[in-house]
Amino acid sequence: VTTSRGGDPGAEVKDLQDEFDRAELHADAAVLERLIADDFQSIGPKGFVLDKEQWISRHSYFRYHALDTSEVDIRTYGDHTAIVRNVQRNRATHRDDEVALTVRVSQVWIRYEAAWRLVAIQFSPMGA
Amino acid sequence: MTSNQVAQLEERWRTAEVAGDTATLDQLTAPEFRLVGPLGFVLTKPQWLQRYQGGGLVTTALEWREVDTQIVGDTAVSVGIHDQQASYQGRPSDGTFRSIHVWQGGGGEWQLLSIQLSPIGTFTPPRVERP
Repeated sequence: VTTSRGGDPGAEVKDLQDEFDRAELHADAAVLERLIADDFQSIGPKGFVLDKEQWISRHSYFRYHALDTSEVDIRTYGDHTAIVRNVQRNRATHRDDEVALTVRVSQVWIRYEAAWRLVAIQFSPMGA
Repeated sequence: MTSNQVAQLEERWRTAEVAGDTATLDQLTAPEFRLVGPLGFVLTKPQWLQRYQGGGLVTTALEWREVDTQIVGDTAVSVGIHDQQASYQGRPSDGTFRSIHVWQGGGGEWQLLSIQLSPIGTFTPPRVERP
């Protein structure tokens, strides 16, 4: 991943977040492999933890049909750290089950030299 | 910054939560700090600090355990289990959550940018009287 957008970290991270969301929707393992840091950790909406390999391989039994985001809040801290928070509404198939979730998601991006990587993602289910 | 130093900061945070010590919580958090709760609500730093004012929130015990901290440059990301015994407006608000803390030291002092809580299994929130 190379930097772009004239060195504006917020714009760079927005582009990468959009690319990540598209890769999730289409189960694009090659893009996910590139965007996700090796020491990535995730927490799902029921508290389960997946590392990078587990996250990418979950697409073998989990498939998005729709993934829409709103309430996007991108905050950068210096040139090397960014947190993207948003609300995700999705429809998916998990093994043989149809699922639909609305979740608040936080994504932590860190720039390693010239390349931003996703180091953490966490989901909290939206209450009534 | 080392994992042990992050652990010391997190112990200060944990102790301040149990003591309802808003001055220390204020010191430990960046102005843009946000908490995302286990039902997806977002609290700004002032809203988060106000939890303890007027006795609304009382945390009687808080464990922060099974913590795994990654440090990249001036940013630290800790994943762990947040186990609390608490009450909110007099009603039990106990819970066990998985959580990520994000710390940053770019401005000199290391401060929390973010805490998010996710339920482990399901979480029943306390009933709160609304005006």
